[in-house]
Amino acid sequence: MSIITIRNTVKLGLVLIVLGIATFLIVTNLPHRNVQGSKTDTQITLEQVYSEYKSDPNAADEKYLDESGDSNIMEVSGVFVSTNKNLNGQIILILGSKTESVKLRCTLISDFNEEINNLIQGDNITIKGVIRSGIYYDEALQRYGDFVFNDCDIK
Amino acid sequence: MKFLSITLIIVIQFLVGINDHSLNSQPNNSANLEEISTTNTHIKFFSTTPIEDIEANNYDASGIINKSTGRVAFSVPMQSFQFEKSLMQRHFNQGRFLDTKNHPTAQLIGEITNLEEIDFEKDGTYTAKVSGKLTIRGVTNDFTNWGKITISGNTLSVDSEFNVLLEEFGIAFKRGKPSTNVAKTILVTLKAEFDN
Repeated sequence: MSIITIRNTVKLGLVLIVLGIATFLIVTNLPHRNVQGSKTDTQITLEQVYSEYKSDPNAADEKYLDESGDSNIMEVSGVFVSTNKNLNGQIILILGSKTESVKLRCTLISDFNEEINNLIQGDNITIKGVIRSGIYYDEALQRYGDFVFNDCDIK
Repeated sequence: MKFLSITLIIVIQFLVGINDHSLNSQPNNSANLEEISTTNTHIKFFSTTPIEDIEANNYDASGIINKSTGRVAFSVPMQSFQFEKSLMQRHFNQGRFLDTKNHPTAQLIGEITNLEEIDFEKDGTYTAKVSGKLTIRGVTNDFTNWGKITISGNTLSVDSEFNVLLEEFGIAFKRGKPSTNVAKTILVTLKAEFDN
């Protein structure tokens, strides 16, 4: 094997090592999905998604939850109920329905949202966010839970 | 005479009905009045190994405490756990780890076994012993742990830490990166604030 061939092999090896390290660093440091910047998967009313979960929660989970956690990005229409803050200081918006006893709790992406200040209870609004939990009869709470959404904003 | 008998039977049945109803509903109504609930929670997973520390935070759990029966319950939407690195979050949710698509909630259902030592009407810090069941990934195990209940005015806070042995919930990594980077035992920290 000539000296030139050995040099080329070493160079190729070094390039492959650098590429491998770069790929590893890129993959392990991939940013979280930008929910608000991503395409909406489903546009639906709160009553419709509630009806789907009431009739068959497993089928609804199959439809809306993803194995990797990158679950369905949904625009859900309902009525504004209230806001509060969670223990992380984030704003939680409660979406409700005029006809059903169901609530959707969504964590807003921003700690400050001017639009919220203008909302009054009963206003029709649409939120966009990622579903984290559907509603199920909760054995722990002995009642139906709430829908839980994260990374939300008002459309 | 026949009319009088029928009327008497109806009246007796009506009175018995009222009695049954009040007997059945009274304890429930009383218990419900004593039940406080919250969604103001923070649950943290922490794994430490010589290679790395991994932390995940969840602010979406719901909880209840019944002050008269001592029943305590928390329901945790598993896909709400947020990791610093997205790849870790994906691994956490996947089938061989927490399988959150098929088991979207984890639950803790228990009872405060030393209820007589806690005065929910008096400010102070109390130690509560909770025994019950913990369900993660569809697997239920017995659970016993001590927690701290702090009552200050109209606020009741719960703080607790406990260890979860992953293998007991069907999560075991024999080889690969998770076997070296994820601890066998995870420290779980729970904080909840209730309106008392």
